[in-house]
Amino acid sequence: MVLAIAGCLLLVYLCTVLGAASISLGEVNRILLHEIFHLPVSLEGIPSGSIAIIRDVRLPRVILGFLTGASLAVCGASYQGIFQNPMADPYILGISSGAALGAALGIVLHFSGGFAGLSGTTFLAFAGALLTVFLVYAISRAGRRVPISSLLLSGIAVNQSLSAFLSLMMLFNQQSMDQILFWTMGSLNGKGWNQILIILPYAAVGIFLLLTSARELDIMLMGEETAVQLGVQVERVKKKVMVVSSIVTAAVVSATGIIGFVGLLVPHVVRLFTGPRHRVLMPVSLVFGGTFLILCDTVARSAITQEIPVGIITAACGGPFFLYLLRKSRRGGEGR
Amino acid sequence: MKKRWLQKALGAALSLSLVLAAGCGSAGQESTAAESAAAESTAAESMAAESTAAESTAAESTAAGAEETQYPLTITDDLGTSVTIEAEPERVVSLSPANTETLFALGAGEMVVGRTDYCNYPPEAADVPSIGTYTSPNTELVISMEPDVIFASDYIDDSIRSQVEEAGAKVIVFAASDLEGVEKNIQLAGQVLNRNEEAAALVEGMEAEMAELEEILSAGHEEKSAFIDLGGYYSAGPGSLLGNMLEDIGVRNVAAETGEMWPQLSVETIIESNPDVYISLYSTPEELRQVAGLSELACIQSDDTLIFYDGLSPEADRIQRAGPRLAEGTRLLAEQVYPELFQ
Repeated sequence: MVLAIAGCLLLVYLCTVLGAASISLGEVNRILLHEIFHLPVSLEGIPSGSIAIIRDVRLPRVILGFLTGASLAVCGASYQGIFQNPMADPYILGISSGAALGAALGIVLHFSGGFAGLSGTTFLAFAGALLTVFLVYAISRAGRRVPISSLLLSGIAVNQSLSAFLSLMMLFNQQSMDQILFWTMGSLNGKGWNQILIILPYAAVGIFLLLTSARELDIMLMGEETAVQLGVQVERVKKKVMVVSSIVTAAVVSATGIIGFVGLLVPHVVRLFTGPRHRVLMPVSLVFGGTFLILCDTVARSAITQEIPVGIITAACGGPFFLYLLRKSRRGGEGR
Repeated sequence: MKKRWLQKALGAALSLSLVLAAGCGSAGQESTAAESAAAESTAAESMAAESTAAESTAAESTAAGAEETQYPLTITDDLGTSVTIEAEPERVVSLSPANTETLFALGAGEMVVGRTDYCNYPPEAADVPSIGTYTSPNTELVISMEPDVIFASDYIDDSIRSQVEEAGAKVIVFAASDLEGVEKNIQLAGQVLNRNEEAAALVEGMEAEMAELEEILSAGHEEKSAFIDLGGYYSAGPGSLLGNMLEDIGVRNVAAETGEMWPQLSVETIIESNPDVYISLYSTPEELRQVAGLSELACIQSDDTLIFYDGLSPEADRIQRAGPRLAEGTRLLAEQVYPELFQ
């Protein structure tokens, strides 16, 4: 545990040193010590641009990357747990399309200003995501129960119709089309402390609540009926996990756009090593998801002179890596 | 062609919108019929107007001794396609705002029977029926207008192109990315429409404007650097219309280093390069000033060096359209980057 935290901090540090702007190691260290830890270190001779880059751009971006990756991975693991479906990911209930539609509305209306350094787009995306989950939930509810199969189906249906609305919106507002597309590609560029502030409360509380459900999720792995017999309130656990994951995912997506593959692949990769037990799977997914996204984003911002949307990197690296692991574990005659 | 990269990178999304547009076809049939009837009646009128216009042009040109286009005429467009025009066109459709501007500036406005939703200049263009957007025009509408020639942009889809060509229209693609290319296309359009004299006058006017601008800029000044923000820190690099415009007015483009036509720069790269001027075509100054780190830049803090063109404003059109107002747009940008030279 301590080792994992130390490892994460080291990675945050290493990725803060790396970047497109050439700032020497010594300068980065001095800036970090002075600006973050408020130690009496002289900043003489360091251009003010470099200070702004480290303090306001690069360090927050790395931290935001960890937060985003960790949240998506834990939410993905939880969804896969309650849906008992390997294809489940944080966007399965249509959160991504709902957020995209909200964001598109914000982009088309383009209010200037915003609040606390966050644009109206972020708030509309958040509202869109939550409304969508609520809609999907309301549609598929049968009395007090929420059957998984109808939840999945209505999630897919709502997802499709919202995507169609999004396309329609782009068609009628071609001048905003590129902005909407950038948004849906997901990126951490230009995002920093303001975004961390909106994600952090949701992520911290949400991930804590999800981790406390790990034991119930483990029992539910034996089948819902067995779990009921063993005294687990299956419907309550499902509702709790779904509501919490949805809110966390909505917060993350509204701040960063749609970053794919992390929520789907990270839990699977981790499961190959730890087995399916959520008490291990979820904390390891948290750490691995966070570090994975930090690494992908570091590639995205510093591999070449221009930015690469991070969703492209996560898919390009994550997909083949996962296939490799899957094949290796199948050869060993085990695996899931 | 600001958004050309978009099509390249995200063709899938576009084809989705095309599917949608096709789906709407049956629902919109009634209105299509009504509009084509309207188009026919305007056609009759415009033909009448056309003949008088042609007569007067002929009279003028004999007086001035300017050359007449000899048909059949074969030209090569910006995609390298060789197009043969058999006879003087009477009906043309424009598939881009820039082309519409060119056609009207050539005095061929009455020949234009179709334009896109975004053709807002000159104001008279609003009287021409629209055929949809420049990325996904309604093929049925275009064909129903029975154009002889279609002036398209490089957005035109190959399948749409072959359909309208089968219906008898000649498609000429204009995709200039610098002033020279725009002038060449104006002359080409003039030749195709037998408006050689008007084209020559138009190009002469643009050249004169550029010569005047060059004269002003040649007065000693320090080279400034600029970052163009098309939104989301996507920029216009070398080879793009805006990139070439910066080159023309002697501004160092921060995004040029990437070598890409439409690169996205990370915020830290922008801060590190510390441009003298920040040109935003999407994000408002208030939004940019709230971006942590970016707000520290001197060019962001001052209203003089944070130049904002609102997406659909006339100013934004002037600097982004590869049409006859490009020289004007170039001057506008130069005035904002080097205000001290224009006092």
